[in-house]
Amino acid sequence: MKKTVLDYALKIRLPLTLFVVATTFVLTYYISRPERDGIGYTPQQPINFSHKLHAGTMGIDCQYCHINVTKGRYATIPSANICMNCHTLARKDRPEIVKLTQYYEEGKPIPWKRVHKVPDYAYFNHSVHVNKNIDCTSCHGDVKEMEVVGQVRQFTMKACLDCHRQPHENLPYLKQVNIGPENCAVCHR
Amino acid sequence: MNNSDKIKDDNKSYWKSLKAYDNDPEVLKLKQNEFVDGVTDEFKSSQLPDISRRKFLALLSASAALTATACTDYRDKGEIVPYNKRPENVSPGTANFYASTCNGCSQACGIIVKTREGRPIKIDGNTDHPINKGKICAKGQASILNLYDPERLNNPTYNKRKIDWSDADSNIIDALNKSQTDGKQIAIVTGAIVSPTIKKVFDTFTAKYNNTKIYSYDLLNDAIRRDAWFECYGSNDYPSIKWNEPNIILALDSDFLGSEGNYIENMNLFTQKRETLSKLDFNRLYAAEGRMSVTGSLADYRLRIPPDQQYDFVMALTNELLKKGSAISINSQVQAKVQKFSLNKFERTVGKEKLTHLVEDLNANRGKSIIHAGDTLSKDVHIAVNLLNEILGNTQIYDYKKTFKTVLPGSTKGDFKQLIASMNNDGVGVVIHFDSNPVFTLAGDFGYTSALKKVETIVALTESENETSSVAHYTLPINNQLENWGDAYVRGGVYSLQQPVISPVFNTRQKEAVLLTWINGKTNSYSHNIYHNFLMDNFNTEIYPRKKPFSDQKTFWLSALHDGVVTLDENIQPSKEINTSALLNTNESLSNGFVLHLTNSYYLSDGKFANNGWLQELPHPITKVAWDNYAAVSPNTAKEISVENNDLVEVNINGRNLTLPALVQPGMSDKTINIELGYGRKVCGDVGKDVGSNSIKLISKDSSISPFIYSNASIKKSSGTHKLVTTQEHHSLDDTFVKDFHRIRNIIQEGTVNKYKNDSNFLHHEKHEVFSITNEHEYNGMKWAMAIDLNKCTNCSVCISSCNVENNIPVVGKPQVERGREMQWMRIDRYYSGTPDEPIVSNQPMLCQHCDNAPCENVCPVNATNHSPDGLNQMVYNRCVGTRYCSNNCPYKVRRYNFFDYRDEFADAYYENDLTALVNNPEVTVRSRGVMEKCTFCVQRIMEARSNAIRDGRELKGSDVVTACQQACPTNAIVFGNANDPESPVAKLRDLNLAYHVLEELNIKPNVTYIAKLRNTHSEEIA
Amino acid sequence: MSENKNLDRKKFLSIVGLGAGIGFLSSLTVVKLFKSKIYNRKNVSVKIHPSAVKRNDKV
Repeated sequence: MKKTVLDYALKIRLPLTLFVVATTFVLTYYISRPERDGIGYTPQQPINFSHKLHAGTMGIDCQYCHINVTKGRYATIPSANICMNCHTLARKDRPEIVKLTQYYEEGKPIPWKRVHKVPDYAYFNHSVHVNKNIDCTSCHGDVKEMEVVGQVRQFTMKACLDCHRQPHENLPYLKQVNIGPENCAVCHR
Repeated sequence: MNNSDKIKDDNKSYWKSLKAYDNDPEVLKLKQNEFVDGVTDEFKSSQLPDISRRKFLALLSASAALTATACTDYRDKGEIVPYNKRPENVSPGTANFYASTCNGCSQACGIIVKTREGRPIKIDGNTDHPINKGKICAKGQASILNLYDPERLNNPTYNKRKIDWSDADSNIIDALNKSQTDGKQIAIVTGAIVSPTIKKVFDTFTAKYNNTKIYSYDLLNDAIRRDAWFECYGSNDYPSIKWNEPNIILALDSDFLGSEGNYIENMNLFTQKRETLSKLDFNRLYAAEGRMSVTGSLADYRLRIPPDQQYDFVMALTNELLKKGSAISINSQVQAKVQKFSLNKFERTVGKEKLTHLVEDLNANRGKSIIHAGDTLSKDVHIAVNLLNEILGNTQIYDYKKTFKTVLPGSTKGDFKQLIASMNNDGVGVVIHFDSNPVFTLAGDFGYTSALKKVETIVALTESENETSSVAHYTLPINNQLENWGDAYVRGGVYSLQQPVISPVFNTRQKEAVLLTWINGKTNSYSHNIYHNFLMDNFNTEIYPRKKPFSDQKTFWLSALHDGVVTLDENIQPSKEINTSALLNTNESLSNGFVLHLTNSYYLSDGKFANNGWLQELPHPITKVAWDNYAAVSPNTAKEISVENNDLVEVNINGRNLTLPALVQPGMSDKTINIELGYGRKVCGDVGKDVGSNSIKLISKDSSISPFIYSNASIKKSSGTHKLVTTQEHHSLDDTFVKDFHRIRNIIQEGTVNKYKNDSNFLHHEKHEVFSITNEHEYNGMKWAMAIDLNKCTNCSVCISSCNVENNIPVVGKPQVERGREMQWMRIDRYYSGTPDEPIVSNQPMLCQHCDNAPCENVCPVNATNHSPDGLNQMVYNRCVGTRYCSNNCPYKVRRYNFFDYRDEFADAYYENDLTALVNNPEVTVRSRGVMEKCTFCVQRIMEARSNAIRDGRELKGSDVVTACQQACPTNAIVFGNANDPESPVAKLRDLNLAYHVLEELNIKPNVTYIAKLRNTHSEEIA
Repeated sequence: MSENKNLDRKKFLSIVGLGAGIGFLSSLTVVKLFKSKIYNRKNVSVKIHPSAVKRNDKV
């Protein structure tokens, strides 16, 4: 049969194009994964709260503000009345504190930008991890050094499973730790 | 074409200029060029950009599209917003519990409401309540959906136009005052009143407006029983029954285990004598009834006696037993009356053997037996039953400590007739409907509706639009039971409190507070605390002095609210002597033709739950019909009138008629028609409108036997059919292929008490070895398993209702149920065996068996379902692609597939709105279209218990986890726990020699064990 | 197949099929947009009642 243009297009160009598209897609997908997952995501917050000042310099414990972390699934962002515990007096004329006081007085909750989020189909439970003495920095990074909080680790299922399967490598400070559960229902119920 | 510039037109030629006329060559050259010279000098086609117009546009649009995608920060994860001032004890993610009381019926069970982030998501029984002891019925479980009903009334209306509360209040206060001055009556029409504080409000109202009369009417009531008790004992309050004590129970058309009285309490007590783990001390239940009720299906011996012949039956029984002795003295008049009756009349339909057994058993168990008549039977039957119990000395079975009290006596027929006559004569100025629906629930021949329309001011205080509010002038929305303050005092010694677990969501008010505002006369006297304070004051004056606690009033009040119930000491009224002459006024039954028996619906109450999708979809316990009611007739009657299932029939009684589909019910007595009440609502939300047929139309205000039994009915086949949908196939019992297949395949294995006593291993004689050809997985740690004791399962379906609420099960609607797509994770299968006239009914709750060798797990192409190391069959919704291979492989067919996004699909997305979305349990995924779902053994509760155990630093025990169905089951038939712990109840039940698994021979090793039902008949074989 | 035909049957049908496919997919997005506009939005206020007494100790 005579070779037509269509032949060439079908046998060479089409598979080549498809291959190039597929490879580009797959490569981009996996290489950009950390960035797409949010590593480095450091959004601007409505009030410039500095963890470096409070948790680092002043040495306030994480659990002073994030109170629910040992009791339930969510760590909870502190409500404004916890901030006002100190800030009714402390530096109350600084512009950021004035913003805070205004929110508090008006009864409006502060709309913080969310940094760390696990998708809805995975039911993550903070208290189980914290009650097993896992440190906050193992997942959230060195928040004490952050002026603005950003995400430093991947929150993909692979990252979770890596730590579950090899806890000793990932959490060297724990003397005794069991392998974390791997079955689907613990997270995906 | 000539070169001239002249235009030729026949004879004429035109020219534009003088030069043209002269054919100037310059003009001719100009004509050649399109443009004037020099204009296009800068246009050089070689210098055009390479891109074509088409390509440019494509590039422009593509870049615009890509820019649009970049306009959002794809990494944006939204906002996280904490409280401003966090209320005490409220943490996101942790539930809060409140004790309260349920208003679903007049039994006022204590409940505990679970709330998350301020919204109630689950109702369970209050473990401190001495009557229902931590359990609640299916209606109570599903009633939480009524709070989130999108068609709840939000604002007061006047003639269907929105008005303010203050305007409504002032207008009504004016109308009330006018009624007073005009000397006209003010009528308050209400349902059953269980709250002493409401009575106080009524008294205060009547003191202020002294033309007020209160009318209390409830369609489903115990008025007949109270009247009979009054005639016999002179007291309006009657005792409850200690169902856990008698050895022999005779239930006369009494559905005490399914729908009458406080059946939760009844079930709990009754099944205490159906224990298989301890010494076998079973009671024996005889049920004499015309229809097939839940109690009848559980009976050891079932006697088919139509409801209009029950009087003859009781009297004949009394005659037989009186011959053998009596605990009280009977005068000769009564004796003569009794001797006229004989059991021979019933030998043909019931059989001599059963009657002999019954008489012998009752005789042998004098003082340890009880005869109980149903709420629908006539007063004469009740009087006769009271007498028979006295003769047998059964009065020690009466429980006077937990008497059924009356807070406000119900109005009589005469009261209502007077009211209606008054309304017709313009004698009534204002009618206030206090959360009642008499236009629907009152018998039509009272003429209430037409009389009502003549009244000048009609007020309806109601939660949602109903038949009464549609004719009312003022429709005032009231709070749902979960937003209400209240109390209840229906049982002796038990005072329970109701508190709101959420502030009113809409512009609704507490109905008692509305009355208080009207009493006060000033519209601005309303505050949201007005009834709270009234209730608290009443508590402090009535209850506090009776209890004499050590704490002060405020602390005691708060602790009472915390517990939900206060137990009081009642002076126990000892049972007086029975007035035996009461029997002399009773009459023989006259039965001719068909007898029509109207009974409670199981899940809709008197129609108030018609708009609750979960309850409409709960299949009827015996027929498994959902979304409909029907006229049930026996197979012989069906043949007589040549009617099959779904055929429309016309039921006629004294000129009142109703056309509805027929259903052939095995086991009914012949010539009996049974129709359930509460269906056929016309003014209702979209869910309940026109579902079923309104059988209240057949009730008459003048009835010779009882408002629910009519003995000269007729029924004939009408034209047309109406498809009844069931969640279970109808199989003709004569079909040889399926006849008794549940026994052949050993799905249901039963025995009798006598057989078990003689041979405790009788279940396992025919077993054969099952072995596996692959390596079996070992479960060394926790292994979750469940055991269901079929001796205790009464088919009440509370487990299904509880599972629905806990796991966000969608409502699918009638057309989808017809296709078998109901989404309930748990179902109760009902099997018949025996003959169509004397069937034996077996129930079996069926849920995912969490098989060790699950056939569903190895066929999933995407591995969305697999097994956990603690024995659960897991379902991962985000992996599922909807192949449905797993459901295909499941031998129990317990997997449900989301063929549609049912929230979107049902009734035009009726439940897809911001309000109803609040009822969802946040710990359980809300499934969308295309995923498979099934029972997860409440894995969210297992995980929560595990999390709590880790927080407390202890090991997770099997008893820490209570599944929703286990928590709800009133008889504790469902047991859940760790099978690897030999001390746990579930391990003990698995080892019992009555335990079996369904379809064991497939070697799929299910983890749900069933304990075989033992029927307590005299023989070793099941009759 | 005649050489002078610009659009033969195969090409025609493939264009129709492609058009139908694209039309269907795009209509889905349009339908989704419209549906979101008529979504039943109620301003539901969920407020805990201040006088209610909790019972978290005994469950």
